[in-house]
Amino acid sequence: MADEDDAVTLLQAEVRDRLTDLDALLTQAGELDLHAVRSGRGVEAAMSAVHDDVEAIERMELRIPIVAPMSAGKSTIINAMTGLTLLPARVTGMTTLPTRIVLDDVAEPVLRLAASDAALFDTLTGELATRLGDAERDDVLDLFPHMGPLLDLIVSGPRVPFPLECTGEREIQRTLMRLNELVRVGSVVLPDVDVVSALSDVPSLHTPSEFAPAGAGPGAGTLVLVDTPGPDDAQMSVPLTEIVADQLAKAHVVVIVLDYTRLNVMADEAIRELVRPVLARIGTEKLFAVVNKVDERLTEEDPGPEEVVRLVGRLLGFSGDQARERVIETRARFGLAAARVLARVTDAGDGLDPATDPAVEAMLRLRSRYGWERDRETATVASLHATAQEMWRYSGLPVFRDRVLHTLRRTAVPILVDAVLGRTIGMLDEIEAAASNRIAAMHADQAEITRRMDDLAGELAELDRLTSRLPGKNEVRKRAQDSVAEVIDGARRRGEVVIDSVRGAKRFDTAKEAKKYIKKRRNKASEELDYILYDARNEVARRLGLLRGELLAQAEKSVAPIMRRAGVAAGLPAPEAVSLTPSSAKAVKGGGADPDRKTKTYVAGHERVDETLGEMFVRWWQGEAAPTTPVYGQTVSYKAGLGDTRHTLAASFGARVDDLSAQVREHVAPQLAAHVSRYHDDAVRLVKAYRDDLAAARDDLRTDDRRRRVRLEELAELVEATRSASAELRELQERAAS
Amino acid sequence: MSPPPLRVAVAGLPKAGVSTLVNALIGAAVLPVSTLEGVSPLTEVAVVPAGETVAEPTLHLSDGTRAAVRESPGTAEPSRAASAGRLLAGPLAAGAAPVTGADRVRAVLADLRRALGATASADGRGEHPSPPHVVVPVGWAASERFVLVDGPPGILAGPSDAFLVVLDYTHLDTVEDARVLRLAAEATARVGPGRVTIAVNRVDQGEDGDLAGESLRRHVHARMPAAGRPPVVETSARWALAASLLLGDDAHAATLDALAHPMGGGAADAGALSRGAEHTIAASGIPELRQTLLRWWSAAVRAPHGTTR
Ligand SMILES: Nc1nc2c(ncn2[C@@H]2O[C@H](COP(=O)(O)OP(=O)(O)OP(=O)(O)O)[C@@H](O)[C@H]2O)c(=O)[nH]1
Ligand SMILES: Nc1nc2c(ncn2[C@@H]2O[C@H](COP(=O)(O)OP(=O)(O)OP(=O)(O)O)[C@@H](O)[C@H]2O)c(=O)[nH]1
Ligand SMILES: [Mg+2]
Ligand SMILES: [Mg+2]
Repeated sequence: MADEDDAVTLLQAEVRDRLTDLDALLTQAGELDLHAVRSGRGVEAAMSAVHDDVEAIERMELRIPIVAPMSAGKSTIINAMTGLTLLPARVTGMTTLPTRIVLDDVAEPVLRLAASDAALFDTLTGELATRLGDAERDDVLDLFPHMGPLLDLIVSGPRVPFPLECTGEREIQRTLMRLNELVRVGSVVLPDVDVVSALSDVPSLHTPSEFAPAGAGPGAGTLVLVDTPGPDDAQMSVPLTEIVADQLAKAHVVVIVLDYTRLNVMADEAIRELVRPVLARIGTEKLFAVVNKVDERLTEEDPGPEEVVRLVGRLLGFSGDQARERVIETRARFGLAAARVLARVTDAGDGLDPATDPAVEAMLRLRSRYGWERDRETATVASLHATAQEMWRYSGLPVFRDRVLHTLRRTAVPILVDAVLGRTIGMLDEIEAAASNRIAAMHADQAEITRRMDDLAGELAELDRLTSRLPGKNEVRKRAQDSVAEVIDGARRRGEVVIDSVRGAKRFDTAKEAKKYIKKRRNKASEELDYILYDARNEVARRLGLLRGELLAQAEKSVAPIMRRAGVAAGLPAPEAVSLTPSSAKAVKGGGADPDRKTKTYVAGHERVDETLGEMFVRWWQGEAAPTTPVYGQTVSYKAGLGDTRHTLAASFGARVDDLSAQVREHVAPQLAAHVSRYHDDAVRLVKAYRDDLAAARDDLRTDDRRRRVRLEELAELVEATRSASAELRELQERAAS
Repeated sequence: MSPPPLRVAVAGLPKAGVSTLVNALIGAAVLPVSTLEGVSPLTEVAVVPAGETVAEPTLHLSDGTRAAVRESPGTAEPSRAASAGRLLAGPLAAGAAPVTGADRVRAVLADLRRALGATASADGRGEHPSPPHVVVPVGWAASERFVLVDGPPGILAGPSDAFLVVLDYTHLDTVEDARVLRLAAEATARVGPGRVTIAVNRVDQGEDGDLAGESLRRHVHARMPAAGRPPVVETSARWALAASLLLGDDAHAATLDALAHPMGGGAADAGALSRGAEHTIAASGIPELRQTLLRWWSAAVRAPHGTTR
């Protein structure tokens, strides 16, 4: 064992040294002005990739994002691995923020937040506090009725800055819950603010793992599980899809979790699509699938373990043997309940009181729905320990731990080394090819080079023409807007009709009746308006999807022949995935329902005015009538006017429609535009790199003989150096594999 | 003349437990249930008062169904071919008698589901005009008659007297859930909130602190894009069914016992189990839904023109 550890440590050091040694070679390649490297990004890009790899090798961190549709049990699985409820989990959508869980040798769990990110959340809290009026509060509570206390805290709680570091199970869970909920509140109240992509890093949780012990020797790697949000959350599917894609892009290994109770539905397809580009890079042998919630398997008709393996294997493209090895069934809810009791037994030993311990209750309830109270009365620490171990096995998580986590930890070094070496060798091959091309060009005569360059210039001009003629960024933005303008206008018109129909003032005797009338009219209208918006949003997404397909097909069709003629070895660039659904709007509001109080005064009669005896005598003597004073009466009525309601409805609806079209303009369309133009840029860059290499060769030919000979020698040296470097790396790779 | 039965579309999120819910309502495991294999093909369950016409669940199959099975592509797959063969030789053979008894009916419908496979159209509209029809006697109806139509979510967009929309508690807020709610909203706009009820099924999966009661209701309503606020009932169809099977007949005790003891080693004492069963049914939302059906019936009988048929 010790020998093996040593060997691994040595290997790690050797790879690091070899990569560091490449600096000289890369510098030389840079000086020789080689372009066709790293998809045309040049030697600079190659150098920075090598530096990243050196760092990865030094830290030996294997990044394993855990991706799944919403509520499949990602967070529960990770919690179970630590025996603590560190990550918040619940039956409705929870996670919005990826969290890195580093399975470490620390004594107790620590949650860390980058200083700038803590500050960002403080700012967000402050901003929310000023923006959370009654209407916003209602919006949030409609969607997330449990958030009342959090909203109170945001608005009137003490302004305590987010801690950069916190410890303790409850404190960590609370902090993570707060961070995740803030993102949700933000998505409703400040829909234009994209908190997650503004973060410099994700929260990072270092935790010991009793159930996936770290003790695999100094040469083994550190596992970094990344908890991710479920991208099929209806409220936030756009930003969450991006977040998951981002985490996948950095993955060394991927774990997909599928929900047994919903196998074979749309959400699984969506996850597979997300994972597909990563698989092309890391290969299916770096993919594991967990089928969770198999405790819900019941009738004879529910698929058994073999069928699950077959089905999931087919979904993810595993071969039969691969599938048997890599598809693992779990019952994470049971695993967590068991792990918590096991952790309590380790901590408290005989001090554990079965009658009061919540972990014990949770476990016994799961095991026997109608008999758990009786079981608790007769439980001893020893019997609980046995039950917990039985449940832990039943959960299937030990298999996950052994087959996935342990294996990965043990083979972290080879996996990382292989990934890093593979990438570096690919790069060296590109450098060698570019240098050899240059040499070949310089051996040809100037005329030949010029002809080749003319050809390429022709292709480039063609590409340029295409790029200028094909929709550029602004054009795509415009086309996207145009393609949905009709939808948005239509929605606006339909809305106006609805709003305009809110007419017909009525009088009522009491304020209550009047209010009721206004409210009724208002609610009816706002529902219809919501409906219109809902429709519009879906139609927008559909049309943009069509536009994307159209644009890419067009781009590919025109670019493909050029790349072929230019002889660019790398072929067509690969488009990535984008999400085109605008996030859902808030409900349309109709303002208050205050009827006008109208009082009408009338003369109800007259009454005599009191006179003194003297006054009465004078009046009588002058022959005047007795004085009276009018008595006024009053009627009160309440006018339920709909004007205000109409105006607030119109304003609110208008704002929502504007918001939808702003989202298309500011978010979705630019994304689509960037997506298409990236495709074009990639193609142009590839061809340009080839041309630039030829230009460099021609420049060399134009210099005097002596300089040309020196240049040829330098290039030949570089070819030689890359060849031997990559041979060495290949040899190292083979050694690492064995 | 007695009024025609009230037609109630029961549909929702795929796998939310629609068929289980229908079984729980009728108190018999007549419809096949599964976590897999497409959605159930359209099936009509006619609920009639016990003792009136039939003594036990009775399945009638039509020529249309026979044709559909004959023409179903994909019967090349062995499991499907076997199902189709069994059907054509037995209950679908010309002149075959109706199938009786819950277990036999369920087995035949399961074969049908397999034989038809994905050809059972996703929106339920391409179905042939006379789908499988099961007549089931129940004790809770005195003279009321219903046809519960179990089908894909698309039937929510079709004509029916009333709609029972089933959501999955453990998958609220997903993109798919939002689609079903949208269909529910449209149905509500057509027939009014008094003829729609939303069952949030699988609430047995909730834990402390998860949405329930008024919060859940508010949450569901907030996400219905339009038109009225139909009642929201929390249900646990799987448990209700197992519990009522146990209470109906001791032979079924094993089902509830297995549910209550997922790791095995159950066999709780019979007393605890039947007390638990009663409690489970009372809390399952099924009694409320039966009341809802009866209310719909009396409203429809009083106002026969209120239907959208
Ligand atoms: N029946 C059952 N429920 C489970 C199991 N594992 C997790 N759950 C429950 O499923 C719900 C969702 O679990 P989470 O861990 O929050 O799932 P998630 O994938 O992290 O969900 P989001 O973060 O919202 O995308 C919770 O109520 C869990 O208790 C299981 O094995 N069986
Ligand atoms: N935990 C739990 N599971 C349930 C409940 N109701 C149904 N199920 C399970 O959910 C799965 C699917 O149930 P079905 O009744 O076939 O669902 P469905 O909506 O008819 O499915 P399709 O017709 O295939 O779309 C089965 O395994 C049921 O046992 C419930 O209340 N609680
Ligand atoms: Mg989660
Ligand atoms: Mg069904």
